[in-house]
Amino acid sequence: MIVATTKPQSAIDIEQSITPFIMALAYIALVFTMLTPVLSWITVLAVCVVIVRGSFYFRDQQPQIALRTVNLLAILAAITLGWFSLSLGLLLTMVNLLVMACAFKLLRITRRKDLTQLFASLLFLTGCGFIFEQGLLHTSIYVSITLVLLCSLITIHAPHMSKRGAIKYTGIQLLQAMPIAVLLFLVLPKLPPLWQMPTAQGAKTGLSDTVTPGDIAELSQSSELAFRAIFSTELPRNNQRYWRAMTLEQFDGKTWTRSPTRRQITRQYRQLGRSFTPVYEGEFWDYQVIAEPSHQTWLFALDVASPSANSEFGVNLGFEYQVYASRPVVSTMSYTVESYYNMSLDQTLQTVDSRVNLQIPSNGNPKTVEWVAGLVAQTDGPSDFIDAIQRYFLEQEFSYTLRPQPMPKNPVDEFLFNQQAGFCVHYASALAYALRLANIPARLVTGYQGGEIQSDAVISVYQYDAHAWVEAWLDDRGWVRIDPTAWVSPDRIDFGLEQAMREEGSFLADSPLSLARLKNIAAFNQLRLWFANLDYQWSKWVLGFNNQQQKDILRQIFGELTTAKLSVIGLSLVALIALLLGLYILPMMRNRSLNPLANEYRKSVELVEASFAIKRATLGPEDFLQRVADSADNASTAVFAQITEAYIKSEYQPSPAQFEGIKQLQQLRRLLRKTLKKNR
Amino acid sequence: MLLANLQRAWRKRMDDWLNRRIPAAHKQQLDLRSIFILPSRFGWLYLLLCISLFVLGTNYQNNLMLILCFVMLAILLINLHASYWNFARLCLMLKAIPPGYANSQVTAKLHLNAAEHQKSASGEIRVSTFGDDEYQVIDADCVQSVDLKLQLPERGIHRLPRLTIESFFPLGLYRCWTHLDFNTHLVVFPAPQRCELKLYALPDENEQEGSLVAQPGTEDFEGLRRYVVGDNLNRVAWKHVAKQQQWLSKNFESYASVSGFLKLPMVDAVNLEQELAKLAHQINVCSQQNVSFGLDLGGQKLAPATGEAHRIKCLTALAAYPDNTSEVRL
Repeated sequence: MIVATTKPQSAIDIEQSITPFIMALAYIALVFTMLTPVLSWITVLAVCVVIVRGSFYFRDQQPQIALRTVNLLAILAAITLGWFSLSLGLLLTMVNLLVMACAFKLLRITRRKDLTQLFASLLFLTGCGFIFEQGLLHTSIYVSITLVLLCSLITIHAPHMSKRGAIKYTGIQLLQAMPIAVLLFLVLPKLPPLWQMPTAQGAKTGLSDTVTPGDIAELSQSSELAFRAIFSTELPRNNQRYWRAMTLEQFDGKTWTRSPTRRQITRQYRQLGRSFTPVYEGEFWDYQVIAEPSHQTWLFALDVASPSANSEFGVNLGFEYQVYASRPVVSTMSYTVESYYNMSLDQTLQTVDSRVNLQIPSNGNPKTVEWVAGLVAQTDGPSDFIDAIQRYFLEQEFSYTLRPQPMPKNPVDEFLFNQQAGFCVHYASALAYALRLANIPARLVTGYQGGEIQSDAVISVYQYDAHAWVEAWLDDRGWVRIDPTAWVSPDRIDFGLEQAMREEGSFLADSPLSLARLKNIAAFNQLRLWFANLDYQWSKWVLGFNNQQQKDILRQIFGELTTAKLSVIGLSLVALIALLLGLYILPMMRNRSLNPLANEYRKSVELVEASFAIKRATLGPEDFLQRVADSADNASTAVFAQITEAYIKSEYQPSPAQFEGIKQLQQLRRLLRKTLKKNR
Repeated sequence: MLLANLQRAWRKRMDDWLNRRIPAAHKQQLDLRSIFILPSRFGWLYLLLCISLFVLGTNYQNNLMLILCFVMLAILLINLHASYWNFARLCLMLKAIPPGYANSQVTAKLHLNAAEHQKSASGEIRVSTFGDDEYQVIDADCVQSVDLKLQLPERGIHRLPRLTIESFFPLGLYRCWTHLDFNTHLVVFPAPQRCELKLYALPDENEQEGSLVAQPGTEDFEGLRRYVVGDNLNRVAWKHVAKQQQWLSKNFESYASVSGFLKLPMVDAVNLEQELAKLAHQINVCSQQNVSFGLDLGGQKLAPATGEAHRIKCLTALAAYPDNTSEVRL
């Protein structure tokens, strides 16, 4: 051992250094973006830990918390989390566990290793944040958090670098990384999921697969985006836009659910490897759907849908004409559909459909049963029966409302004969039940109706467009859509919910600040549309970018993709990245060049050395001038004396002022060269 | 045994290779030949993190997670260059190392930016002896040159071993390091050991051995004189005080006028170091008391003189003993 050791960085020094504090700030920002998935007591824990960190940094407190205390707290918290995990599901438990682990790591940081581990956990947590939020706002927050995390790493290895310097340094690195990342993202093949990941139970949004009248009314208060459709053919009219999501075929007097019989049949078909492949004919709409993450499997399409195969997510057509994904939609996902709008829905087995859709609850709603029996006796055939019900709704002046009264007992009786006001599910539920009682197979369909035309080809559908309607099997025509809501509130179907609710004023009544409510103020609407468009481009090009789009882009640039071409693309990707890196290091190489002032002086010295065969060696500038005076002619010596003077004068000036000196030296060198030539 | 041999052989090969690759010099501009760079342990952890982000992003079909993963990968690539070029800004210079006594510490000036680059390196730099775990940390953001603390080994003139310089700047993803030979020597004097001063007279041509001139030292007692107020109490002859109830002070003699040789007695190898240590003490005492002294080490003789330069010369001769032929550079 020759080099003596200095005092190593003590645990206290690390505890009180700025790095853990910066990491704590990044951590708390991260936790606040994840308030929904993170349990509230863990959020409180996180806030406390960050306050403790702050006190370590700002005050000269004795910052050691005993390892035993931390461990004990961690065990208690883990047990509590274990208790909650039963209801949370795997994904949320894991995210909460990670948040909690970071909190305890932050409590006690005594080694550098603790810091790097914490960095890794926080970066991973940032990645997890994208499971829950993928909007532009959250993305920019996460990018800033990444920047802060990288800065914190710099403060470990360069504790005396200025804060601004560190931010600039990492900011530049992050900017430089972007083009490389985009290249990789565009060119690297997009793999299908490697294995099934757990999804968040609580994160499910949008329609649910059990519908009780009143449910969709809640959804109608949400202005969140459900999906977008980008049409390459003409747009369907508003009253043609029935986006089917789910078909519910089981009714218990109150609630509609998916039929267990249907589930069983589907399972059997799947085992046999049979899928529903109707024969498509006629005109169709061709469009791409960009679905927001719903954490459920159902998708959206107009009837009769023919989804195209998507290599990442299987998109299938069910026997109830519904489109569904083979895995829960956890990220923004896009798929293309052709909808043959003139086709009848008569290609399924009538026997099966009838059996499933004539099920009625064994008791309840006695008045309705009685009423339907009377109506059947008076009418002739299904169409006549349906007309009779429509007449009843209109004559009794049923009204459409977003604020229906609760109907806990015999809801259909209550709705049909007492309240006579309700939301779409009330109407659909009552009608479907009545049809079943009249021995006409009928079922409830939920989905979205309408949507806002955002630009020439794009329709955005929001949660408040959620809707429910009825399908009845009429012998000659197959499944026929009947929308009782349209009878009582034609505005709802022709112009959308907002128009229909104008008088009641209940459109998005719970979210007064929603931009969608301010549609009638022109400036706000412009702003809202602009944001919506930005968000749309973001969804289309970043979030919904899939294998298909990737291939299309590559094909546009390189033509038909062959194996040879793909390998060339791969190689050029590597070359391009190398080129980019080369560009980045160019300024660093230039910085390496010698002090320009000394460089200029040295050039003059070399000239003199060559002319008079003398060596400067280690002489200082003034000594060397003496040496030159001894052996050189007077004219040259005079010029060199000027050079020496200028050099010495500039050398002790701050670097911006040296610029003048460099210029002067350059001029003098030219003069020197001339003088030397003349005197030779 | 075999393992030790293998280790030694490996070390030898390594040294030879390093000598060819990074030749010794006072001033070392780091460049492609001298810099080694590999991912640090954290670098590997970071790579693992990127892979897990990729798997997570693929499984959730989440493009943002994938982009985050690619950005992190790109940062890994960019940092390869960033850490290299930062490290390559170092131009290290370590010139003479001041001499010192065995097992003591000396400080040597290490310049970080000897080439006067416009922009110098940033971040912490660790300096250690090649093959040793213990290091000194230098913050290149604060200083351009630094006092490197060196722990001197046993007496002798040693070549300064290769120093390992390493840096983890900027993000700690890579470790840049180099092993530099600064082509300089450590002159280590024997650590002085207290003893009596033995100064021999200048040897005559006809006399084989010089006679002892005096044995001055701290204990070179000349006689007693009456105590004067202000005399050092340490020098009061307490025995006399107790017996005669009279205060007397011990008187000491100065040898400023005396001149002579310090001699290395004939000793076996076992006692050599001890004798050299004693000589070092005597040289210091003589020099302190301004005695003109010479040094006779048998094979090498230094003529009597005084002054600091002479002292260093003598001590250096002790450090080099028994080698008296090679030029000792300071």
